[in-house]
Amino acid sequence: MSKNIMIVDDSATMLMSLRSSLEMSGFKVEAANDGVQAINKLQGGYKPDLIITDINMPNMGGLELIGKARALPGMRFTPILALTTESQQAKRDEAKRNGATGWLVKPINATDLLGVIKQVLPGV
Amino acid sequence: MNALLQQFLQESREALESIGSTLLAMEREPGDHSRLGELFRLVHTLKGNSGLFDFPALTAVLHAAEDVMDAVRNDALGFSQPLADQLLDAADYVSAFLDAVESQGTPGADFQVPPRKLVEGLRSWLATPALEGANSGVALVSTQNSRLPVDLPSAVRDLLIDAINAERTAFLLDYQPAADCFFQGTDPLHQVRQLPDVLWRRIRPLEAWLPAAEIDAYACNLRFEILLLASEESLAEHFRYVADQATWWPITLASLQSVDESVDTASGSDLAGFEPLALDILSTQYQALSACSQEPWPSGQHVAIVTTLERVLASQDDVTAMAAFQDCREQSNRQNDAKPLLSWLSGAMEKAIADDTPSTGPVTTPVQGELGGRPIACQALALGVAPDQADTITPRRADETASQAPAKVLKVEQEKIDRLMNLIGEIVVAKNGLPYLAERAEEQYGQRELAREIKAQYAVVNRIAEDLQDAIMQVRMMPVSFILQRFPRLVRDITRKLDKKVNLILEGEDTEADKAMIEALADPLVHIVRNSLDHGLEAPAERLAAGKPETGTLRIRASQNADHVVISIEDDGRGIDPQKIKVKVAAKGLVEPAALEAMSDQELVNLVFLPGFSTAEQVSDLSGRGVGMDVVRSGIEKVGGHLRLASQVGQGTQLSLSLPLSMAVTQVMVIESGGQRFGIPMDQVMETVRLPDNAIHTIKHQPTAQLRGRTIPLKGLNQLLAVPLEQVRNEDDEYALMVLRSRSELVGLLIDDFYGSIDIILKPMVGILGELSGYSGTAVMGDGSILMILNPTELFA
Repeated sequence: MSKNIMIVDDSATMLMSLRSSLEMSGFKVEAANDGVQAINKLQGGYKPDLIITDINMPNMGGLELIGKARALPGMRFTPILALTTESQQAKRDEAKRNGATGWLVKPINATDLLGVIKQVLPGV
Repeated sequence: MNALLQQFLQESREALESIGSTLLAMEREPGDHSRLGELFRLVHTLKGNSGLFDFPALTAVLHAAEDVMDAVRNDALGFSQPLADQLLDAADYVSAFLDAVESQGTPGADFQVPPRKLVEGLRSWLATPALEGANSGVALVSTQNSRLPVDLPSAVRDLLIDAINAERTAFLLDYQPAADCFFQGTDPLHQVRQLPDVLWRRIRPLEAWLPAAEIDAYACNLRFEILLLASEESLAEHFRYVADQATWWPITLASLQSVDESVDTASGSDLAGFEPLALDILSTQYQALSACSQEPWPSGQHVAIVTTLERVLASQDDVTAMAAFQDCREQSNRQNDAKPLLSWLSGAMEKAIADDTPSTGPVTTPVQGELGGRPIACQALALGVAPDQADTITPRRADETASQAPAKVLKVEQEKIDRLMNLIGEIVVAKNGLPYLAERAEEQYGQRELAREIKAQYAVVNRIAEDLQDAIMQVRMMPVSFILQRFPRLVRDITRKLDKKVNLILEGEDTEADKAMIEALADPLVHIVRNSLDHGLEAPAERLAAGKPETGTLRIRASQNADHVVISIEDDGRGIDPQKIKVKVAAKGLVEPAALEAMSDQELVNLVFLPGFSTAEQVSDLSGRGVGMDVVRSGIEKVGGHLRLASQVGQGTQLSLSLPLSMAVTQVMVIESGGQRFGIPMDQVMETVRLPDNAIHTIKHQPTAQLRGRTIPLKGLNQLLAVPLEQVRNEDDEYALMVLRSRSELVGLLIDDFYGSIDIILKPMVGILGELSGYSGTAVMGDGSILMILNPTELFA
């Protein structure tokens, strides 16, 4: 069974890029434009196997999203990867503290992406 | 272009728009920092996305901008006007970059390398945090010694010390007018001249001068450094409109004392106190002298310059300047070289500019600037007028030109416009269905109120559809000059070849028509012009013999007449001789001799349109390219135009082409004949009349009618279409008669009944029906039925 991945980014370009990489690797992809949308989806019963989220987003940023998602039932151990840029070392640490499993550095190519996913998603 | 890139372009543009408006909003409310986070996010997203593609230049700029915004967001750097400007510059660069990618698919050569200046400009904010950036109208307070020019003349320094001791406040002012200041109503020179109590002043270029040819004389490239005694408030007041361009620092005794004492003071003469006019003359002479400095001394020009200089100096009563000038002239004379004079002049000029202060302030001796010997001062004097010299004024280029976005022009593939055009055509047709609906509502269901409402709604839709159609037609319009501009060259080449003299006159080149029309016009027009030059206009000798001016005139005039574009081509050549045509046609057997005899002169002239006709005695290689006038005519008629020819023997020929402005929607008149409905192009319908049976007279087996004094041949549509039915008459025994213009003839078409006129989209007939003559195409009616559109010209042929 193919795994579900939720991608959260306010940039449609980034979503499109991630989606095509992931779908080509056989994942089912659900996209959200910001933290609020993502939380709504999660509260609505959607249960992804992995969440990849951007940090800087309008309405609700990635850090807040990670904190809120972790508090939802059944989401304690869902891997969450934060998408950061190389200039945001501080953000990575903060994301970790908020409960992120790891981080990805933008821009990320499909091979690297898959490599990281393999580390956090068992059985892929 | 792949979808991802397209998505990127679109998103980036949106982001740029938001960045621009956010920056402007922050400018309006500098205190409001709530937008900083949003601004950072936008830049951050842009930069992140740019990494998906191989755009190093773009990423470099965005990265720098992101770092700057990050610092601002974290209060490490204050947000200020100049910073906003820099960010807007960066946004402009990104925008230009995106334009390049959009139009060419790749960034192109201009955008391969990161724009060093822009990136460094952005990064410089990070290097010198806070203080430098916090200048928005408020003067910076800095006691840095380096702010004071090290080459300050000792005399000026003495004055400064005195003034400060006398408890006056002194400031060093650095005024860098914006490059486009001349367009913003600021006059930097005036601004500087109005400053009170100036002790010392220096004007330098902001950036090294570019070669004269590349100088933008309308961009200010100057930097004014001024030492003055003034209060801070008065400075703020003085520069209130250009607060972002002027910075000042208070000068303290401590900072003064640390300035190197061993500064070289001015030596020799200067032109201090000279009248502006005198300086102006000197600067002109300087330019003249530098232009001829390579010539052997003394040339006539040198002598003239020296004389002028001498007189100007004499007029200014400056003994020292005169002495210095005499010295240099002697030197030049001895060395047989203009250089000594040249270098004295340039040095003196520069000082004069630095010293050109209003008489109120204490004038002191300025020090030779570090640019000694360079002619900058001369240009500074003229403020933007570039002399003919290698290193001169220039605006800030590269990045700036890139940021000056071109006028907003959208390039769209013609295909897309055509599609839009077709769709609008469909709307025009579809809306025609509403009146049918109204009719049915009323007659079939007795819903009169509903019918009325449908009609009202139809009127609205109709208006919108027409506006829409008009708007899209405007998009497709282009000026006739598009094809006319090739004629001067063509005419020149042909007349050379033919040894003729022709004066081509083009008129109404800005008349507009649909692109398709313009294109359809191109070939026929070339052919007509060639014909005119080849056959119409005579050789000079022949013209002189006929008492005409040696040079012939060919006039191509375009104009708009109602919904048609009319192009007329007139020459004052020999005209078309009907008798010659007659002989020719008879010899070729193209027309029955009897019919030929009955023809009027006009009809004979029109025979040039017959297939296989050629009037030239010999087939020349110019007009006789296997394309006759018949092809020209059919080409024009194919796009719904018509062509008229008139000629007077010995006086000239006039040909006029009339084309519809657009060929997308055709207006037709709906008629009925033999129980069937047809459409007839409205532009051929001259009038519709009810004709009593007894008004029809048969002349030579041809039914005719007298109409407004003209005899018009009559044809029955049923007969033409080989329908074995008589045309129906109404209860008053009258025929329905349509007077049509077919080519330049009037023909009466007898039909059964008329209906109104409608707009249709004419679809040409294809396949097996395409061969059918007498029809120009079909159209779908509002009720879904098919209307056959007749082609009267073919029918009557």
